[in-house]
Amino acid sequence: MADYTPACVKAALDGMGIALQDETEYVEVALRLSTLVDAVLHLMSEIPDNSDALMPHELTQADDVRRSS
Amino acid sequence: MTHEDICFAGVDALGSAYRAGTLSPVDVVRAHLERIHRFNDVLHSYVTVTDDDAFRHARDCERELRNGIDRGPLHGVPYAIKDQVTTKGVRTTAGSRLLSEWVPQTDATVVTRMRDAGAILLGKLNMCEFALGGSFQFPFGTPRNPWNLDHETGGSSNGAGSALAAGLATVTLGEDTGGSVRSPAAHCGVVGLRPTWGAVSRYGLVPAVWSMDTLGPMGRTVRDVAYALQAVAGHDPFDPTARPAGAGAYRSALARGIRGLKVGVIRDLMEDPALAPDVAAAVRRAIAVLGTLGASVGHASLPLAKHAGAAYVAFGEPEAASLHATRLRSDSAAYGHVARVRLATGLLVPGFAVRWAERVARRAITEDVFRALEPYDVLVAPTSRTTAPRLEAKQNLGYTSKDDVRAEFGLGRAYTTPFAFAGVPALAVCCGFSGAGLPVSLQIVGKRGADDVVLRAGHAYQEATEWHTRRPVLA
Repeated sequence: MADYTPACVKAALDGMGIALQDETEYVEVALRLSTLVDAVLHLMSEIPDNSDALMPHELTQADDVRRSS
Repeated sequence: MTHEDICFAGVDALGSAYRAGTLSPVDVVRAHLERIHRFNDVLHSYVTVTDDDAFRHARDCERELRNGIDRGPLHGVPYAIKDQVTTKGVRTTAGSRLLSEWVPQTDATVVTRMRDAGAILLGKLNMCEFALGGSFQFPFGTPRNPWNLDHETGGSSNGAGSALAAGLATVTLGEDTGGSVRSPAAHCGVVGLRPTWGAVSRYGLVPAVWSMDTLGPMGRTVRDVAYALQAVAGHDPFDPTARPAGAGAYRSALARGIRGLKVGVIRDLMEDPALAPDVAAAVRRAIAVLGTLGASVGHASLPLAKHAGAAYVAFGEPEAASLHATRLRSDSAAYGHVARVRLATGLLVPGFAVRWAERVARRAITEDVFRALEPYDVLVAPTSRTTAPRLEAKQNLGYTSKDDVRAEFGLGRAYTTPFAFAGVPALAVCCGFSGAGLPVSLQIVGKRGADDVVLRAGHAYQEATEWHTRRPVLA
């Protein structure tokens, strides 16, 4: 489980020269970040990585080719 | 026509009256501006109203029409545009204090095209800050839902939805990244189209998530949306992602009806335990109407749609953050709370998560959409799992645990975002009202490039029903 703390978020943003407004904002970013990384790690077990090098927009273009052929 | 009737008239009715000489563009602009100034202090649909320019343009249109110069169906029709789109000489705020004084030097391509078509700009429409969604603090006033002022409008094209519902414009242009045209269309009971990605030029658009941003027309009827799409779609040398395909076919497609159209109902969304009963019932009735019009109805599945929210945040917020990083360093206090928290999150998402979410998750969900569409002409589902939520007075997101955040990333986004991933056209059409009197919306999704088909299905539905003729009561 990802567990970014508000202090860790503050240190990272301070290093970029970015300040949030108050402690609540650091708490909310830490919670969003931790939950998001949890979600992605979970998805990595749910969705197999069997893609080739195509990116989504190239994929939609491939669909156009399928539609027109 | 009364002033209210003028403000709720469609493109065809205005055009007929102009050409019959019973109404002029100046009359229509005056009626709209009076109504805007009467209700905007409450609704906050508009950030900026361009009274003088609108009257000047209306007089030009009147003169042209009198002299036999006819620019087509939008000639003299009043419209408004999300304040995310640049307008020469008119401030463009993108819903942010940061841009409250920004006056662009050029028009976006869609603004030029609407002007070439004779449409008259009434002003710029309120929106969530930088189209990031989820705002509850609006520097230019909190948008309120005309059907119930205690409820949200949906976003991020908030004003584009509420202005139409309240009769403050005939047509609007919004922008949809993950659902930002369809959500306000749904909650305000109007029509909103997210066109095929690339159908409409984005030159002059303040970006949110570049790889998904799509400008989309909105109206009270599908016919009016088709007119607007006709005007703005097509290749643009200033935007290499804008394609020529499709332009020219939107209006003429409407008359063909939907007999034989293959419709797939997205089972995963219709069986969502959190789908509001009023919404489910109205959407089921709408699907039955499509059946009575000759469509063949089957079932489709999008098993990965439930992951769209997390995938979107994982790569979308870093993409947005990359656009704002420099300004966050110099002026983070000028952002609103939601934008600042979302962009700060985006700056810190690990690289592997960003790349995996776009390369694998987005692709897998896109393939899901293509697979579901394969045997059908269109897919249908609710546009939103609920009617417009009640406005809340709050100062921050109020997150105290991961469970709070999971609700933000959860199934709610599954209704609109998968189709944005796939770049396919998706139309929101009002299909009824809840017991509390709030609009419910049917979403019609088509194959890439088949914007004409979703418009045809939506138009056939509106021709068979009367929901789009209802007006909210504004005191």
